[in-house]
This record gives sequence, structure tokens and C-alpha cells, in this order.
Amino acid sequence: MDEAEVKRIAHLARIALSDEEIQGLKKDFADILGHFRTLDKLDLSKTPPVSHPFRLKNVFREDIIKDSLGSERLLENAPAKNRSMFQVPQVIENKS
Amino acid sequence: MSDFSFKTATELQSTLRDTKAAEALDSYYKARIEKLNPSLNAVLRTGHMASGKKGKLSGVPFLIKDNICVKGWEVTCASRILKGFISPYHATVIEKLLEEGAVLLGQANMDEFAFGSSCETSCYGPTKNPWNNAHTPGGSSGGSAAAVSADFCTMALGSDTGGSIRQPASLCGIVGLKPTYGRVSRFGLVAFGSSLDQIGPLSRSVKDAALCLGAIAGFDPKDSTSLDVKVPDYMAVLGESVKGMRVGIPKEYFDDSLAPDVKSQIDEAIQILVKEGVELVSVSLPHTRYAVPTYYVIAPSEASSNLARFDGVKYGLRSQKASDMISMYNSTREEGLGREAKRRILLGTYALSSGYYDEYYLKAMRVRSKMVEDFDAVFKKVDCLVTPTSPTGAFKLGEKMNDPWAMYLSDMYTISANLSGVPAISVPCGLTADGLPVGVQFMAKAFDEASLFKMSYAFESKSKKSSLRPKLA
Repeated sequence: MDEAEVKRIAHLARIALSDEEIQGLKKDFADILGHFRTLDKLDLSKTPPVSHPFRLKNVFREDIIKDSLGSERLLENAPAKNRSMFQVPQVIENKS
Repeated sequence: MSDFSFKTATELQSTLRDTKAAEALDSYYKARIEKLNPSLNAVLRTGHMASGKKGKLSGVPFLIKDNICVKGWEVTCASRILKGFISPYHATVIEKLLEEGAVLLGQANMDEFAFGSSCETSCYGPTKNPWNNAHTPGGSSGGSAAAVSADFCTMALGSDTGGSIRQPASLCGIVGLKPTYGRVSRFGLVAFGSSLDQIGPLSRSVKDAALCLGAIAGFDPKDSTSLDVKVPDYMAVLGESVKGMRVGIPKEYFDDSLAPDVKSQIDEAIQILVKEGVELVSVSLPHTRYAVPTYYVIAPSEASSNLARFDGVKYGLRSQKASDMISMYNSTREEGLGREAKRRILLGTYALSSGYYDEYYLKAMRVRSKMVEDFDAVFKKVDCLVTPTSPTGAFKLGEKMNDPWAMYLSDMYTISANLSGVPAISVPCGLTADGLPVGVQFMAKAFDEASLFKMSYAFESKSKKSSLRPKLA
């Protein structure tokens, strides 16, 4: 994995990185991805994937209305809020 | 005043019926924390919460890993990005503990978001091992393990995604249980790897672990992965004979990676079981060597998705540098997340990204299938498996911090139980040449914690190694 690839992944994950961090991660990933290569030794052509230890199917429940915490309570932890909403930096560009 | 030192919950049970004694126990722990925690850094915050109800855990003081939500308390996962977050609700396990009369004493240190095997990635600094302050307590529930080992509480709750309860329990000389996937509700546990995470107890005896699991286990409509399977009376099976039970020794767990002074303790543990009349069966879990790479594709992939919620919008830190939305996300996560958290999120993002998904994530899910088949096959032949919990005793602080793969390998014997979902317990079985604790791990088939408790209790009663204590100032 080269520097550009680390930057591409960091952009996907929305994490800004310093140059020093990029160099460190490049080295770490080369090592870690190398160890992942051991999985190539296995013939997996007939093996189905599992995402979960037990093969759970969809779990349904009755749709019954219950008490919820309410927006006021949940907004108590917000870094910025406006009335009953989370406030974030401007998303839509100004028309120039 | 009663002698509370290093007492188990079951030993304290009759004493704690008296409210005054329960208060005295509380003060005893608070005083120990005040005196010894500055050097150990196992406890992040102290508090007091109790329902006053009587139940299975009346008056028993607990510390809680800092990734389990306690209503009205700050919960941070030892990360800068969650500092200041006050939980608006209780995790289901907390409701159950309070319902059964337990007392919450505070919260324990951990690796940031449970990413680590040494408790060194915490934004609050590392926890030290009570047996030797130059060594780590293991992780990620290192604060919980060190706190039980140092007698800061009677029991603690931890979470185990790849060994995070059992490995620190082993390295601190206490008992640690990872229940079957689906046995205990994860509602209110901050998610790391959702197909792997389980909450479980850290305690000073197998009996206490059984007592605690009986209190926290069971189906919860708030966690759709908790399964509606009957919870047996675990206390009732303790003391039953293990004569004739078949114990599997998987050869892959006794290779060159295992330190000789750990191996000798495990061999002795196996001999104790033989004297108790178990039948040893040599077995193989052929895909064991693939466990670490498989896990380090799957767990970071799930983590990268779960941690997307920490974006500076709803709770916790928001970077003050940003002017627009995208740079707000980028800077918040840059400032709020530590080195290992970034490493794992990026690794997982990579494994799930377009063009690499088949090569990494899909492949790892297929290998996981093989490992589930290994365990299914082996549990047709035996009732229980016995292995080391960790390949070595507690390693030194800083020893593995610059070599991620070396750190990941310290979970090599614990990860398979998470990938296959089976329950596993670590029980003290002796000391290394350096006088550091060694744990023996028992695994049983899914939802058969009863066999696990029966076997490990029989071992503990004969070995008496759970009563080894660190020499603290």
C-alpha cells in the first residue's frame, strides 16, 4: 500500500492524518496485510461465508409503541444544537 | 470490622445481609482505590449507584468497564472522542446488576474502544499490572482485571471481542468469563465488533463468575442477537463430579508459540483434571493458525462501520478547527481518536472498500466458516477443551506498542472462541518463572456454560491457584 492509497482510505474513513501518521500507517499496513496472505493457502471455493457465529435469520418483533428517551434528552450530549436539532457546519455552498 | 480483604462475593454473601457491613465494604474498597490506584491507574472514575433491592448480588460492589453505559455517568471508552458523554440510559446488564442488588463503585480503564491487548491505548494512560508495575495487565479489559486482582472491588464487568476478558484475567491472576455469543445482552455496550462482542464477569473465583452470569444472562428484546435460550441454575452444577467427562487437548494450542514456563503450568493443570477422573482426548482444530489473520480482517471491518457514529455531530468531541462539514468530520476524528483506533478503522475501511472486499472481508468470512466447522466437529467428541489462555505471562509496558502484529498475536488462543461463538473461561493455574500469573482456558460448546463452570470449578477447588495474590504496597 502506497502513500496515495493510505490517503484514499483515510478520506473514505473521514480521518485527517499528519504526514508522519501516513508514513507510520504505510509501514504497519505492509506488515499486517503481509500476514493476511496466509489465508491464501486455503481452498475456500466450496466454503460459504458466515457473518455471524450462529446462522440467525431475520429477527422480528411486534411493532408496539414504547416510551423513548425523547429529543431533549438525546440533545443533551450534542456539541452544538439549535432548538430540537443537531447543529452542524454549513453543508450547502453559498451561491457566488 | 470484618476482614474484607480479597473476599469473593459468595464468601461475603451472609455478611452483606447487614446494611452496615455492606457500607463498610464500600468504604474498604474506596480506601484501597484512593491509596493504590494512583500507581495502578485501573479505575477512571469512582461513584456510587445502588437500587437498594435484594437479590443474587445484594451489596456486592462492582466496577464497570468504561464501554458499558451507566445512566447519568460519563462513559468514554477511554477515548478523547467521547469525553464528556453522559449516558442517557442504562445498559441492560447494568439494569440487571442493580435489580439483583449489586452496588456500582465506578468505572475501569480499558484500551481505547477495546482496541488493544495491554490497556496501553487508553487516552487516560496505561493500567499497570498489580503483580509487577513494570508489566501490562493485558487488555482490553485491563482496568477491570487489575481492579479485581488488586482488591478494588469484588467483581467487575468487562467485554470480550477477541479475548479482552480472558487474556487480562489470565495476566492478572483472576477468573474471566466470555459467555456464549447471544447469552448476555449487549444493549448499552458501545459496539466494537458486533458479531464477536460479549459482556462477561471478571472475578476472584469460578463460583462468583457463575453467580454473576446467572444474574446478567438472558434474552433481551433490545438486543436482537441475544438468544432466547433457557438460563440454567449455574450455582447448582458447581461441585458435581467431572469423572468420565471428555476433555479435549487441541494440539494446535501447544506449539512453539507457547512459552515453556506457561506450558508447564498448563500441563500440571491437565494432570489435576486427570486425577479428578476426566478422560483426555487428543483433538485437532486445524484452522487455529488462521484465527489471528481472520480476526484482524473481520474485527476491524466491523469496527470501522461501528465507529462511523463518532463524527462530532451527536455527542462527544467536535473539532473547533473546521469550517465545513467534511473537514469537521476529518478533524474531529483526527483529534479524537488514538493511534490504534485510527489503524483499525483504516484497516477495516480498506478491507471493506470497493475492489478489496472479496480479497479480504469475504475471504475471512469463509475461513470463519471453517473454524465454526472445526468447533462443531470437536464438540461432538468432547465435553470441554483445555488450552492456555495466553502464550506468555504479562509482558512489559511498551514492549509491543510499536509492533502491532506482535500485540495481535497475544490473543492467538482466545480469538477462536469469539469467531465460533462458544463460551470460554480463564482460571488461574500458577505462576511463570518471573512470578507472574498464568491462566488455563476452558471452552465448551455454545450455551453450555454449565459444563464450563463444572469443569473449571473442579479444577479450581483442587489447584487452589485462584487464591494466589499479588504483593501490593
